[in-house]
Amino acid sequence: MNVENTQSQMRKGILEYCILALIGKGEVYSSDIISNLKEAKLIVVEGTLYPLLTRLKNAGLLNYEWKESDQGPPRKYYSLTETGTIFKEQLQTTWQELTESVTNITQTK
Amino acid sequence: MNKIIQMNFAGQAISIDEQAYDTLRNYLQSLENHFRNTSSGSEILEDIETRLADLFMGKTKASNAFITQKDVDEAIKLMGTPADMGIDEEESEKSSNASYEKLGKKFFRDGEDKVLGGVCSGLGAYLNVDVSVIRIITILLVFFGGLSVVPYFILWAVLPEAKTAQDRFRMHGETPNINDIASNIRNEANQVANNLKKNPDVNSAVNTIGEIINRIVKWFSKLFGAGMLTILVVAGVLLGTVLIANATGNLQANINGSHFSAPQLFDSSSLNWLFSISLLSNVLIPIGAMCYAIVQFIFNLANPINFKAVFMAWLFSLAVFIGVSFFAAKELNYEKLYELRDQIEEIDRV
Repeated sequence: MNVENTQSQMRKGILEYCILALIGKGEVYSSDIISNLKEAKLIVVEGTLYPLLTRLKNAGLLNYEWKESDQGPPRKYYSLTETGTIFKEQLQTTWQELTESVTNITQTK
Repeated sequence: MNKIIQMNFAGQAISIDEQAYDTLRNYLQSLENHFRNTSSGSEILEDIETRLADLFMGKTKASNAFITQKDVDEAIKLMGTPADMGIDEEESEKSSNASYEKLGKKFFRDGEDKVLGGVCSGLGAYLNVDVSVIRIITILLVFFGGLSVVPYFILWAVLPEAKTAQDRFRMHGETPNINDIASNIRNEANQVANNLKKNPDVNSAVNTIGEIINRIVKWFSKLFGAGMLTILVVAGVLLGTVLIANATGNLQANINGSHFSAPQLFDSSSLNWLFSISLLSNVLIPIGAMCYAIVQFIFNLANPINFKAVFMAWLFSLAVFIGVSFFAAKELNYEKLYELRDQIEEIDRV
């Protein structure tokens, strides 16, 4: 039992919700998602994200669109599907409940 | 001094220093191995490559004319090692374990330990018996009327050779340990890398007219193949009938009203059988192989038989035939041959 393992489990749990929330704000390029997640210390390297995005896309939660870029290859811009939006909202509710109850539990009386 | 390589990477032309190229290639190979058992692994790889290309293009636009080792190292650090991409770890681990367990033991030929075709070593691995024991039994059975010969050639032709690491583990029926596979995978990885090198930018665009012509030609050759197949089968059956008749002594026919009874070539019935069967297999093996190849071609089957094994079987039957012929030359039943000649002359007269 080490603390790092538990910490990374906690982060993993909310990663999908955060990705959906970020994409929910509007069409985004994967490196935008990455810089946001990095800032929040939710991921360390970019590579973590690609398998997740593919999985969410295969589950029908995400859509993407190719857009030309001025410097390199065309980029995939992601957006939420209808299912994805509902999914995100459900997670949002859970997250809110969770933060409330966790705050309650950990509060010093 | 270092060579600069021009590469097509995720559809972009990028100049890269040779050393950096090697590092990048190894990195991509390790990712490919990592995502091998993940569903849509190739899509993930594509995304990562596109992102890397994006990073590299940014570099070349900004300052350097080409990508250096330092650029690649930075990009890899940013992207992370395969171990960092463990989000799908549970899923892929589960599926890979499950697939290995489900696959279980399979009968392969062992191409790495072979005398002829690796059938004995494959059988040994399958039965968990030492190869030498199997080999000795096989050779002993050759002297018991050649009992092991025909099964050997059939197994050789039909069994697949254990080629990949997974095949080899299935051949031995072990549950593979990740460390054991690692070294095997490294070898495979090199092979894959070499293939990629040979074929760096395949133009995937298909010329429609070319495609149509291609199809028409294919259809015609399939029709031709079907014709050939019919001829070959008829010829094979006819010849088979005659030679079997020589063995059993039962070939009779009425040609133009005169009775024709084919005599047996030899007095000894076992000699008749040996002669007929060895001659027959001499002819039927190539015919059969051709028929098989044609059928494969017509129905687009993707499991070609091992022609080397068929060829060896044919050589063997040729050797038997030559041996029998030498031995039998003095046993030929000349009286019956004259009889046969007389019969044929009679038919000619009529």
